[in-house]
Amino acid sequence: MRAIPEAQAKPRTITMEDFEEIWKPRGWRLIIIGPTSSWRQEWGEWEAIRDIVQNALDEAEAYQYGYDSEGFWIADKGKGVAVSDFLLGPPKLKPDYARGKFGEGMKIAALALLRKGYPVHVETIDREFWIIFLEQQVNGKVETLAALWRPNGSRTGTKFHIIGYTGPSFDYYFAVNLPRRLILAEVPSPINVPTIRYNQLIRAEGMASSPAGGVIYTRDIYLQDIKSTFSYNLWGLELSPDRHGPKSEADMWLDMGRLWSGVSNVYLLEEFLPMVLEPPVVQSGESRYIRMDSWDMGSEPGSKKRYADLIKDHAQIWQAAWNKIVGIDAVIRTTSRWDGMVKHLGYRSVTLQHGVTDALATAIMTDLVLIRESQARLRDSEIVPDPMLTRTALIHLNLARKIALKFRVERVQAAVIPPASERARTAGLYDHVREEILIHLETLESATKTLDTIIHELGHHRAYKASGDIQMAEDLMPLHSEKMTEVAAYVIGSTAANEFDENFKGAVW
Amino acid sequence: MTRRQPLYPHVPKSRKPGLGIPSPIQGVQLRFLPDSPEFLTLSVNNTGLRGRLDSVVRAAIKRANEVRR
Repeated sequence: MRAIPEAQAKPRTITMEDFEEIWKPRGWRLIIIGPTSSWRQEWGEWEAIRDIVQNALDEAEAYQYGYDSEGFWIADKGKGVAVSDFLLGPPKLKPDYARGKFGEGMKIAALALLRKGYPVHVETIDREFWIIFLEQQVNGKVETLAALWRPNGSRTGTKFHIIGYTGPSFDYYFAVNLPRRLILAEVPSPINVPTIRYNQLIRAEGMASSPAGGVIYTRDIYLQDIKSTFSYNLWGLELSPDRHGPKSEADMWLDMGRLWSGVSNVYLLEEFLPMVLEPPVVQSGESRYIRMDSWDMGSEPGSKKRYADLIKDHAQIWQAAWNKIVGIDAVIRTTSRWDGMVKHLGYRSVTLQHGVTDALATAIMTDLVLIRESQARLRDSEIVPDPMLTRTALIHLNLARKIALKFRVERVQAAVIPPASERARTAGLYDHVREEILIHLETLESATKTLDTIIHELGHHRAYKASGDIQMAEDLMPLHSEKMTEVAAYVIGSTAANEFDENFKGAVW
Repeated sequence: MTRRQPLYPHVPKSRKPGLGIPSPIQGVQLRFLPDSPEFLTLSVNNTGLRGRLDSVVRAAIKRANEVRR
């Protein structure tokens, strides 16, 4: 039996003669894995270590690593590796919930490491391997990936040894290595088999930071940087076969939306909102791309609750964050069409990024809801019969009625009118359906306030009649201003001409 | 426990504004155009006619009340 030469003690490339003379006599067997050494040229140390760790995590949910006198090692406490696992064949698809997809990463990882000059030794349950290039003469020399193996090895798990490697461990590229203090929130992902997987919101600091700010991990493994103060570990998306990106960009941002839907910490939401305002107050990766579409986010598989409903469940917390960051007088703008009315009700419309508007509207008031609620309140106005009015109020009401008749408005009523919103009282209103003007009891106690009201409301009426469109008759619309000015001019002229003197008897300034 | 007092206890509730079905605009049935006291005053000020309006109204009140005496 030939002695093992120094260069072959940790083999990287051997010939069939080496195998027959050195290895076979010592009980080693040879399997040809298949690809030549030029396969997957783009893979380097990172990709190799990534896939070894990925396999370890799929096996055991944890891995250990370290450096010793031989180089760098990665170990897990899983069920071990079979000889057949090293054979390349038709892809053995892993289940959807696994981190890896094709189960071939371990072999390609070994190939890439060998190509970089690192012998690879694998010790697993009851056997050990040297992954090697088998040098063969085929119109020149060809190096084919192969493995020497023999019964031996450990009692538990698998240990990959990358001989001579002293480079980075890339531990910061695996979310499982992050300190717990960086994990800010966890929300169930759509993956709950074989165990519930949680999408994680992570503070972009230390190991979880990047030159851009944050990092996106997918299923515990680094995917890409993100310009953000947050990092993410997302489970509910598929990766492209080369693992260089998500299979669908939209799916990644949607999964981020699922995570934020379940966040219930007001301080985190106060950081989130400035990113998703339009324009963003804090420009970040999330700003333009995050999606929280109710239908697309779907349901959390454990509770079957829709992700969008998680926002509704935490509505008070979202509102508190909104009030602090955006303002207590702010509502979500769904359309600029209502801006005038919103302002009129004492609020202001604020635009959110398109992808989050519908979801956040379940917790925060929108312009539409504000106006709907206002209209519903106003429907509760109570008309007060003339005999119930004070003498002064009735005098002022009759003055208003006389002016209104000039513009063919026959219904002018005293009323108790609810506030149009929590931020706006109502002194008068125009009901364009009944062509009716209501004047609040308090307003009717003053002639000048009554006149202001009837002039303004008749402006609404005239603008509506002129345009046939209630939108054109709203406050702050030019047509309303024009018609109101005409009414005011008429009142001034007629009053100066003593036309209403009878109605001013008993009037109070 | 004290009962919440109505805002206008002296006012009997007679009728609500009649029902009408306005056409929906952007998902809102816009029927009422409400105005706050502050906005009513401001909007008349903005017509530029406030001075003349107040002047003729004061005069009319004075006239009417003098005749009355």
